[in-house]
Amino acid sequence: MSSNSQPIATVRDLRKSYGSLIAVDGVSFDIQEGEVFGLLGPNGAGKTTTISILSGILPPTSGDVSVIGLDTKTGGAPLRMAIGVVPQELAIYQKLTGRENLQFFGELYGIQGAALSARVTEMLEMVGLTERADDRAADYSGGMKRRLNLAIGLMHNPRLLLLDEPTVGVDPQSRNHIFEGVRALNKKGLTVLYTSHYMEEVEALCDRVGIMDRGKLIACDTVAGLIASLGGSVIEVGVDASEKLDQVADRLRQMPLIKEVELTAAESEESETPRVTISVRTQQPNRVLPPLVSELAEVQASIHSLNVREPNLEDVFLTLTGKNLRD
Amino acid sequence: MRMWTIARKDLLTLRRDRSALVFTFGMPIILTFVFGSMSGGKGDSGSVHGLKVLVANQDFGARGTESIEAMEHAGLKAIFETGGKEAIEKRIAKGDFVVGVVIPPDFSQQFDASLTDHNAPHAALEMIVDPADTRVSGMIRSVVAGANERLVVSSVVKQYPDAALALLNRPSVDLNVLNAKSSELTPGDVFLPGFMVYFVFSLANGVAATLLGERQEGTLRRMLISPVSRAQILGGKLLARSILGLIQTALLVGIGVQWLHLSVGQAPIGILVTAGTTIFAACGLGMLMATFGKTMEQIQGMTTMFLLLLGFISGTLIPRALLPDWMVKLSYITPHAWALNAYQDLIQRHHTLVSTLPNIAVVAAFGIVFFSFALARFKFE
Repeated sequence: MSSNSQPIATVRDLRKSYGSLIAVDGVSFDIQEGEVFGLLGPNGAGKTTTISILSGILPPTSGDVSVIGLDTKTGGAPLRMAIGVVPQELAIYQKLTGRENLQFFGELYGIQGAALSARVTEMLEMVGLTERADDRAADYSGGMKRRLNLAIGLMHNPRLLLLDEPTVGVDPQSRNHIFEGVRALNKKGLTVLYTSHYMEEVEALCDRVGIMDRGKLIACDTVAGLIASLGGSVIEVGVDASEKLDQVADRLRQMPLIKEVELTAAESEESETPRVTISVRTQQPNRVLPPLVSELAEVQASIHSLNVREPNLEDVFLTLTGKNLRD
Repeated sequence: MRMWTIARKDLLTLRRDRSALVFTFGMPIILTFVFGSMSGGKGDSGSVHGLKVLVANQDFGARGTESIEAMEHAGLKAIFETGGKEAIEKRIAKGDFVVGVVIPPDFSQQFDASLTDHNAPHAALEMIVDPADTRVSGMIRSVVAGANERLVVSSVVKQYPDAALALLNRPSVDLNVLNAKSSELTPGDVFLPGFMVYFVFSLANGVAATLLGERQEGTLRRMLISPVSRAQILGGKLLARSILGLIQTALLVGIGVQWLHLSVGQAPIGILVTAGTTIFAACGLGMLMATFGKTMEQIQGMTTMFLLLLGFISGTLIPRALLPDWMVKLSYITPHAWALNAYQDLIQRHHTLVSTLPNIAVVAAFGIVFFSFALARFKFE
């Protein structure tokens, strides 16, 4: 993070409702200039609505939102020039080539002539599409289209880039391209708001993370800070599914050293028997492990794996909302 | 400048869409050729059953009534007009009827005189025809002439057997056809006005599809995020479709002049103004239709059927004279009918641009109403 601690965007008590549906409910956060700020949450959490309001195309029902000090409702052209948006959907013209797509959107931002050509070349190189620049976007792979989608959002050299789930449906190669591109741009000073429901992406990229659920921002801190707020470790035990496991979980929850117990269905290629992962969060794994194994032995559960790890953002989300990110 | 950027992008996108190109330019050309070749524009065949003729019967005798009965017996439907020749001319000029017949006060007197005195002047009917529809008026003209000939023969045979043979050798009822100075319309004159209107309105389909497509694919949202106003986005799209519409009209006019002898000599500016106004209304209609559908399939199915329906009831695909009364009245709720009137005034009736401006103004008004409703209803997001 190359933050100089100046907020480039400020969101205060933001609300957006559609009739009785509340999409965003009293959200407040700042994005510091130079940081990568993540918004993590499941589908329908309100991330895209927040981005739409930040980009100025959706008016808030109430609350104040400003970018580079300009109100998003009245900021006009200076505000729009400062913001680049990479939408979740592939907002590109399939019948135009990659180069023509970039030229078109560049012209909309007032870039012309030699400056336009140079910027198009630069963006094509950055997203690795130089060799396919003159092919129609319709002939690109899904990953290439995603990269073009990203390049369009960067054409006018914005100060704040809003990335809305940019890796949905992307192959690993293109995902790495996008990650590397975002990191490189951030090193050059670009501020990024990155939304995702992939915990790993947010952990890997973001300096700070806001966790959203059902329109509310339920936590906001650095990744380390959020994880530290949970503390302890997570013990994961893989076992064959059994009706008695619920009773085991209930008994484990009674133990004072255990903070949280969760049963999740696990897939196994080795066995046709359904399997379950028991996740136990505790500050003292060494003291919890023996009674845990003992409980499982008592119901004659067949243990296939045992793992002790540090908590992650998924655990943070689970603790805060009682459900998984991908539920 | 940004409006032109958007228009250029739309045109480039369309250039790469072969099926859209075929529909926009190929189909109008092919259909014009087919219909132009099928008819010489002279129109002297087909059924006349039920075709309406305005009749002003000013005759003091019985022959006028007999003439009307003969026409009705031949399949025509007489609609009586008490306002005389002037009223008939007005109603024909308005496009409600194609043919009117005035039976003069001395018709019976002259008719009967000509039966016995070979040197007496012939009885004469005045026929007023709409030069804009020679196909139907030609058919009616033949039927009226034939019906009156039969009337003459039957009268002679019944009442003056001696004169019958002599009368059979010459006509005893003349048809003085008025307003026919431009009646020799070419196939281009006959078919192109309707086609130019119908196919320009088919642009509405493209406008609706491009707006909805951009909204669905997120590119509209992307444009809205950029420093481009909604008016510029819509203006750019209108500009692109206007260029297409003008090219389409120019192609049809060019083909009409070259192969179908279209007469545009006196009206090129009028045609240009009418085309521009019609394109404006068509784009407005397209945008309005885009507000009624949620998916591309809905929009395309709906606009295709709706435009076809408008084409039929407006008289652009079927001559209005062949439509029932209620449908003729209904046709004027479509912008097509007014645009068609303007083109027919300019090409077939040789009116000036100024004299057909009221028609063009109505088309423009339709466009303004369409755009106003569309802007109020269209959800950019």
